[in-house]
Parts: sequence; C-alpha cells; structure tokens
Amino acid sequence: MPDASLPGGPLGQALALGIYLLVVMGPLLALTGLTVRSLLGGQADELALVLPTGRRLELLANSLALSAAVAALVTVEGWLAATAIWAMARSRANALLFLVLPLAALPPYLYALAWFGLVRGLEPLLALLGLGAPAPYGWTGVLWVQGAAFAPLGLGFAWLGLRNLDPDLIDSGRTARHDAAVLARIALPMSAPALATGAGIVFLLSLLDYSVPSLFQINVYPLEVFADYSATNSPERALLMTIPLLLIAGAAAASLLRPIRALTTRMPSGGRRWSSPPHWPVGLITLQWLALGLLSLQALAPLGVLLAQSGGLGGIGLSLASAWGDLRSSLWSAGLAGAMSALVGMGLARRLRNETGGGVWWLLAMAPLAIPASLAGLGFVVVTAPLEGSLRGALVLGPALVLFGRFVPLSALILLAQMRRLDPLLFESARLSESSAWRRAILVEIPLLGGGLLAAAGLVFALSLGELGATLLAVPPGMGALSIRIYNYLHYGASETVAGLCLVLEICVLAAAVGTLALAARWERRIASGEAG
Amino acid sequence: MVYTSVDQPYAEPILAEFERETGIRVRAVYDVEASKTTGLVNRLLAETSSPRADVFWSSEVVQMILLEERGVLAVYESPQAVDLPDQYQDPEGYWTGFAARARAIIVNTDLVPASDFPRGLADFLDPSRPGESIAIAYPFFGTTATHAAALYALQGPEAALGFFEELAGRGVRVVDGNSVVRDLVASGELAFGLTDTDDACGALRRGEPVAVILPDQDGPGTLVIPSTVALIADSPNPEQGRALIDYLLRPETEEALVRAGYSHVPLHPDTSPPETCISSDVAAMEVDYHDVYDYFAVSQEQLRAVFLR
Repeated sequence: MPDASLPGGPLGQALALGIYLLVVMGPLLALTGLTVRSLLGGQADELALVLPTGRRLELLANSLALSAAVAALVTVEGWLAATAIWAMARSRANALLFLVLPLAALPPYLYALAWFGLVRGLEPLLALLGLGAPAPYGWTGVLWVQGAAFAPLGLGFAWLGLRNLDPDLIDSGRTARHDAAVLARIALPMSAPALATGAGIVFLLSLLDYSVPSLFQINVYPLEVFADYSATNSPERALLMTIPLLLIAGAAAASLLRPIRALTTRMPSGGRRWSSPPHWPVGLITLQWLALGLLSLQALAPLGVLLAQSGGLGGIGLSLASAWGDLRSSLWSAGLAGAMSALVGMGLARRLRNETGGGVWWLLAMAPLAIPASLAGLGFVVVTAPLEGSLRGALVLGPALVLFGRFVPLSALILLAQMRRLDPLLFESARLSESSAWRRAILVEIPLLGGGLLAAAGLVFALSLGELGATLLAVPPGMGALSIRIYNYLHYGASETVAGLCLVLEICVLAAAVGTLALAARWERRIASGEAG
Repeated sequence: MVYTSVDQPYAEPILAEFERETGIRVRAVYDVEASKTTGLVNRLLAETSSPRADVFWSSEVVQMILLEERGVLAVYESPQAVDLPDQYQDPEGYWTGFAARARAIIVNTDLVPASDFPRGLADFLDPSRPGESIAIAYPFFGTTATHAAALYALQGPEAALGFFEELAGRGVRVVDGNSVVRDLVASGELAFGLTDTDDACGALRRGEPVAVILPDQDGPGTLVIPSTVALIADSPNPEQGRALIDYLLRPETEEALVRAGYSHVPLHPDTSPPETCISSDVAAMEVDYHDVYDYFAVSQEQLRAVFLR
C-alpha cells in the first residue's frame, strides 16, 4: 500500500484529524449544541423551521432553480470552451488558461459591480444604436453575473476532464470514427466525472449565495435565513432554517462522490493531446468559439471596468496606501490559511484515498463547503468566546483558522488528485528504504507532492483573500481585512477607491495563482524527469 | 477595543484622533452594510459571557436597544451627554445618541422637475408616479428596517403594513441596501428612492444630479436615526472605554462627523456645524425608540411575507 501520510504516520494523521474536527467542524458542532439546548429548553416548536412550507418553500424552489441553471450554463459553456482550447497549440492554451482560471477566486459580488458599471458605461453607445440598456435586475442579470463569476471554475473542471483523457484512446477512436464522434462518444463521457464535479461545486456555491441574487431582486432561500437572523438574532433559528440547504448540499456532495473518485483515480501525468489537429464540423467550431468568446468576455470584462474606474496607476497606488495595513493582515491570514490547508489537506487526502466504505469520510470532508460563511464565522465566535487572558492573543489567528475551515476541502481534493497521479511504487520504495517517517516525508513525500501542495495552498490563499462573511466575524479588534475595507468603501460610495482595491486584490490573486501554478508545473516536470530517469 | 457599525471611512479618522489626543490605543472592528446587521451585534451577543469589546458605537439605535435588552450593555452616563435631548438617550443610561442621520428621499433631478419633487412617503403611492421608477431597500435590514418599525409604532401595524403592501403591489423596486438605492437614482436608472442622508448627501457632494428631500416635514416629520454609543458590560478596559465614549460625545466630535458628511442632524444644542445638504431645522418624527424596538420583530415577520416571495 503506498504511503503518503503526514510526518509521524498515525500520530500525524491523528493530529490532522484533531485539528480538522476542532477547527473545521467545531463551529458547526458548537452551533448544533446551542440549537439542541434551545430546543430542549422549551423552543421545540422551532423545529418546524426545518421544513420549509408555503412562501419559504417557494424561495427554496427559486434557489434550486437558480443554482441548477447557473451550474448547467457554466458547465456547458466551460466544456465547449475547453474543447476549443484543447485543440490549440500548447503555449496559446496555457496562456489563456493562466489568464482566466485565477479569476475563479474573485468574489461574485465584484463581478456584479463591474458588470453594473460596464452596462452603465455602454448606455450611450447602446442609445446611439437605438438599443436600451439591459435591465439591471431579474433572472437574466443574475444568471449572467453568477455565470461570469463561476465561468473560470467551469472551464477549469472541463479542462481537467479533457486533460485527463488517455491520448492513445482518442487516437484509436479517430481511426474508426470522425473527430466529432470521438468528441461526443469518447471525450464527453470520459470527462463527465470532471464536468459533474465542477457542476456540483458551482451548484453549491450558487445555492449559498444571496448577495448577487438580491442585487438583481431575485429572492432566494438564503436571504430568508439572513432576514430572519437579522430580525431575531438567533443563531439557533438560523441553523434550523439552514438545514434544508445543508441537506441539499449534502445530497449534492454525495452525488459527487462517484465522479470525484473517478476523477481522482484517472489522472494521467500530463502528456500529449492530439497527435494531429482535429477536424470538427463548422457548427461545432462556431459553438466552441462562441463559448470561448462569451467566457472570456464574462471573465475578463470586469478587469477592464475596474481599470477604467480606478483612476490609473496613481489611483491604484492611493487605494493601496489607504489600505496597506489591511492588505498585510489579509495576506498573512490568507497565507496561513493556505499553508494549513495544504498540510491538513494532505492528511485528509490520504484518508479519502483509502476510503472504501459508505463515503462517511467523504461527506465529513466536503461538509464545510455547504456551511454558509456567516454561520461558520458565528460558530467560530461561539467556540472561542470562553478563551481568557493570554489565550485571547491567539485570536490573531482567527481569520486564518476560519478561512482554513471553509476551504480545506478544496485543498484535500487537489492533493488527492496529485496523489493519484504519482506512481505508487515511488511511495512504496520510499517506505521500504527509509524507516524514519519524518525523513521519508521531508526527503521523498513532500517533494513528490510538492506541486499539489503549492497548488492547494495557492488556491486557498486566493479564495481567502477576498472572503468577507466569515472573516468579518473572526477578525480580532485592531486587525483589518482588505475585503472589509472594500465593502465599507462600497457603501461609502467611493467607486474609485473600491475599483483600486479590487484591482489590488485581483493582482494579488493573479500573482499568487500564476506563481503557484508555475512553481507546481516546474516541480511536476522535475518529478516527471526524475521518474523518467 | 471598539466595535463599530459606522462606516470605516467616517469612524477611522475619529478614532485615530482620539488615539493621538489621549495616547490610548484603539483597536477597532468594523462592520459592513453587506452583513445586514448580523455582523457585530451577533458577535457581541455571542461574546456576552466573555466580552472582548469595551465600546459599541452603532450607526443606529434599534440594535443597541436589543443589546440593552439582552444584558450586553453597562450603564454609563457620560458628562458629555448632559446637554443632549432626552429623546435620543436611554432613560436608564445604557446608551447615548448623538450625531444623527435622517431618512431622506433622493431624487434624480434629470428625471424629476423640482416642481414635481416628492415631499413625503405618500408620494411613493402616488399613481401618477410609476412604481418601477421608485426604490426602497429591503425593509428588514438596517435603517430601512428601523424606519418600517417606526411607521408601525407611529401609524399602528395595520396602516403601516397596508402602506408596504401597497408599495409591493405597485411594483416599487426593493433593492439590496440604501447605497444601492442611491446608486440607482444617481445613475438615472430610477426617479427617486428612500435612503439615508449620508448616502443621499454623499451623491450630491460628488456632483451627481440628485436632490435630497426630508420626507413629511409638513406632516408627521422625518425619522431621525441617531448614532449610539454604549459601554459593554464586564468589558476588559472599562476606564478607557468611558474615555472613548466621552470623546465621541463631545460637540467637537459631532461637528467632525457632520463635516465628514456622516451626520446631518447634530444633537448637541450648542453645536454650530458647517452647512449640510439639508435644512438645519429638521421636523423630527415623534417616536419613542423603545416603541420602535417593540414593533421591530412583528414588522420584520410581516414584511418578509410581503417582499420575500
């Protein structure tokens, strides 16, 4: 059995599990405890909140319809665009992917603001053409903006699916059928696990978001939960009302188990794509390029809007100067969350790799993705409230811990995929030749998993940098965060400063993403050449 | 340590000046509009058994009364508050109001001629004004929720609910926050909407084509929403907390908040603020904020059924 455990073997795994349960599941468990106490203390009638009826059921239906539509849109668009990239020269494909994929980390709210600005900016031009500006509300708007925000994720998973294909299988198919049939009969079914995984994750992210739908006046279930929470200030009621969302998210996560397993058991170690350029019908090529154009427009247009609103380099510099302390705090918290996610994610990934039972570990590992950010933050406050004296100094780690708790499942998935891609014999020979687990980890395992560790840390860092809901509740007095300042200036009406700070955030995310992806790729090449040697 | 829901661009310079003048280091946590009041208030509630904040400086009053009711606050009657009107102070001394804002109608002057400016809330129901050209924020969050509860207290639940039902029936746009109302009106997307003076006057200051109207000055008056400040019970640094409260309640601090564009209704009688974007003689709605608090839950429950569907 290949061994990719944390240093210390069982001890390391126990440590990782302990940290995971305390930090990741602790907030949810604490809120559950409060809720059970409240129910037993005479509030049993609140159990009715678990079952949405009437108006709340309609809101839940709205949420489901929106999330499903966004997931479908993003998946179809992502797959078509990915197939277009798949046929490109490697350098062009990589350049495009490096540009678009890191944008997955930007909060959807920023996309909405950028698109509002863009539509307003285009109004005079549209008027000249005799066209009215699109109404900034309704289903079309929310589908467009959430579709834009999640488009890089859709592309990323579709690309993962295509990259996952065995090129020899594709070549064999091409000898018997035309390229379009190969795409439909071989590439599509074989990349389906990746597509399903991406669709599921987008569905979950969309399901829990109320901020963008409410901007477009689409009422969804999470807004009802938030409105009730605002009126009653009762986390117990909020948790009970969230249970339908948790169950739906749990069912979605459960339905993803098979595709995720399939995805992470099929990863080849890179390699060639088409042996000769594919020949597709004009209709398909048109669709592919339409999807690629649409996706690029959706993802990249906000960059242009922010640049136009920010007042140029001088404006960005002023924005940066006004938020320097907050940026430092955010970089520290996001960096720490990234590092912790990579290390604990490694232990979790190993556990998931060995999971052959009913998927309990999978559900446990994916549960944080289904917990609304504000509840995760409040749970953290409940867990840490009893801390006294010097222990309170540790709360400077609060934002990092709560961000780690939110995003560690993604880190575990990346590391699991990385483990699947490596030759198990490498781990086995390390286990046989090196008796010290620490030496084995430092000399063999961490170098072997280095690319995945960097990618996992980079992704969590990028997502953490713009996170607001949980950060707001976990940040200790005197410590700021870039996302908090951005939202404050947003209310203040300082659009230039907001645009400047959003660009600063985006530059940090892009730099981190490009840096980690490049380092990971380099590491991977080194490992591959080592394998070859 | 201070928790504040006053916008960071307004609060930060005041706290920095306090640090400079007193040598007391301030560590602040700021809230954001996007958290819909569930941010710091819930954090304070969750920390009740082991408080971390010394002072809560709120941008409104109902959430402060909630904290008072839940035992989060300590009594502190600042010597700086003796001149402040009783209407804006807690009778038991748990919190003090100052540097108020008011609810306001923001009007796009390109779309609405001055002769046709809305004068009060009744104009939101005027059949000659298309409902889809008018906006309010969700009436279950922030100051719009406070305003809704104040209407419940002033007019009675039936009349107030009827007003909001009629708004919904007219297709009035209900948007995600007062700043969104401001932006939609300032951009010309909408003719007018209900917001707060700091949002509306901010747009005016930036040169947007808007006018700011205090609603119902000839009738029941405009709802005035004071900032409130309170000492947290069993706080870690009560002495420094009291010093900060005293500092915030000085007329000079109120003047600074008016100058910065946050407050437009100073409450100190002897404050001589610079000119603001609204009349200095505001006819304020006569409501007891504790009554507003009492109607808060029921108004929320009923209005969710009206607007969240």
